[in-house]
Amino acid sequence: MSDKYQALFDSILEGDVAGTQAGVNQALAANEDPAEILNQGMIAAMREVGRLFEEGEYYVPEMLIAARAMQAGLAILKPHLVDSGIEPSGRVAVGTVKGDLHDIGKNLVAMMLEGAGFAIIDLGTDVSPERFVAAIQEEGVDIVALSALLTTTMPSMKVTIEAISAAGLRDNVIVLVGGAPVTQEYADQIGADGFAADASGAVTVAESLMGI
Amino acid sequence: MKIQTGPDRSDVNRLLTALNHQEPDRLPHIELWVTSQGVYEYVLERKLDYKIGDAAEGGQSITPEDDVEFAQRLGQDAVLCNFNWRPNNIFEFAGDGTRHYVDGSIKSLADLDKLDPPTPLAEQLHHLERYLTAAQGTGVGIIANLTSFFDSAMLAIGVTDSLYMFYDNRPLLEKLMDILLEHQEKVMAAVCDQFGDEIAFVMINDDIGHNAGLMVHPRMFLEMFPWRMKRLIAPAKASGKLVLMHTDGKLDNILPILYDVGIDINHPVEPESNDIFAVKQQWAGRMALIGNVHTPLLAYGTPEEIEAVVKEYCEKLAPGGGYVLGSSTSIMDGIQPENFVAMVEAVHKYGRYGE
Repeated sequence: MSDKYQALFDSILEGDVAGTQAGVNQALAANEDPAEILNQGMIAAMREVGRLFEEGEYYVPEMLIAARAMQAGLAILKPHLVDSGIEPSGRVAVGTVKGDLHDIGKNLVAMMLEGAGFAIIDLGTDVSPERFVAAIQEEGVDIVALSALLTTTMPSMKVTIEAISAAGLRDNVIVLVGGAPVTQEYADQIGADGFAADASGAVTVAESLMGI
Repeated sequence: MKIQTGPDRSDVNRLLTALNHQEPDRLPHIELWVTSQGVYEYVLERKLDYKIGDAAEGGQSITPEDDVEFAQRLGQDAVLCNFNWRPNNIFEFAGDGTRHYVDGSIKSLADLDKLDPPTPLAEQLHHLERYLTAAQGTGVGIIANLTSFFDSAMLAIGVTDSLYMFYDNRPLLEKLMDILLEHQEKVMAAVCDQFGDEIAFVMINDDIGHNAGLMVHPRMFLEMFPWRMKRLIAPAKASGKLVLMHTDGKLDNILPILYDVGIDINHPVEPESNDIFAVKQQWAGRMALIGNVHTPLLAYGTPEEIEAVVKEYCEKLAPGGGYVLGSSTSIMDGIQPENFVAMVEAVHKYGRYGE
């Protein structure tokens, strides 16, 4: 990473919203390339957050405040990215499956994927299979990420995957699953493409399956 | 199921022997929470004229008399009497009619004036008396189960907001923890002073972990948790009672903290993030374990698959005591009663020591 983005990088790592906003503004004022600001300053910082989480140095609160700082900076940078024609790494529809209102895991995954450069379509909670199918059809998503916290709502993941297949869309999207009771074995059973035990792992799996 | 007689009848001493890392007559089994009306009615062989809900989420528990009979029919050695104070939780209904926690309503110091009051202590103690009366002569022990200060504070604030608050507004978080602690400390003292000789042991219900480990950084957690938990369980330790703590999550860096605090037993050793066989080996003689039978297996497996898993647990986890079989969370709607009973019957079939 270039030294010119060190302060921005550090601000995100520390969850410093004002520092992140200032870092983005300064970089833009210096006519730095928006894609470079994003990749070298911001995405690099979120990768470091993921690494620190996996190594047990960061916990969920540190991850959350870092992602919040990232989002604050991204809000400033986004118009410039659009103007420059910068495309996201991929488009991900995230949602907690039908019958389940829990959103913490889903939100964390969305934040970390956004921090890795993905565009997020957040479908919310209690999302029906039909709504996931519609998102694939209407939003042109590359990945569908299904979350469930409860043992009793895990079957909604299977039903959703079946609905995607029935709509003839299964080959068009990567399906990721996760949530407290979900395991790799269950992901394999229901025909998901990937499983992650936490938000940081979701980024690794998404990038791997996208060939990034 | 009929009330168990003979070697499979309920016996709280069986449970206590195993929790003290010794081998009783057979491996005990216990469910700390059953929230399925269907499972209760199947085991009790009658319809209940009231609706069961999750007591920790404000629902109606089974009555003490029905709960004790439920345990007798299963050959379960103890049941919980809940002393819950989970204020200001917000619930919503999903499209399928199920009720879920979604947020808390404490967002500022000013909101602390609007805390939902706890159930009066006298009413709670009367409930415990009912349990003790119902259990007399049955062999079923009564576990006093208290909600705590850590997850109750997070739930009252809202889990996501509280996670931010560890950095944004820790004074509010800790003030709320102290309010919850001070109340539950009084409840614990009253339970142990008045009923210490009659209850089996005490339990603390406090989720401090998730799939990757502790909910918050150990540095921060150690500043906030151990001294408060020591205060909460002090009356139980002074009464010589075992202390069980329920927490979800990966236990690698959780059990050492709980052990230092004085916790004797952990539930439910979630299989998604823990290898129960390794945990048992590592903590043999120091921390007894309850649970780990994966609820998706109970919900979606066959009785034969469940029996095979229980057989393996009996063979590998029962030796030496220190393990009590149970599900990895609770017995909720969605678990077929036949599957739950298959698990219990498999313990009776394979869990006998010395055979």
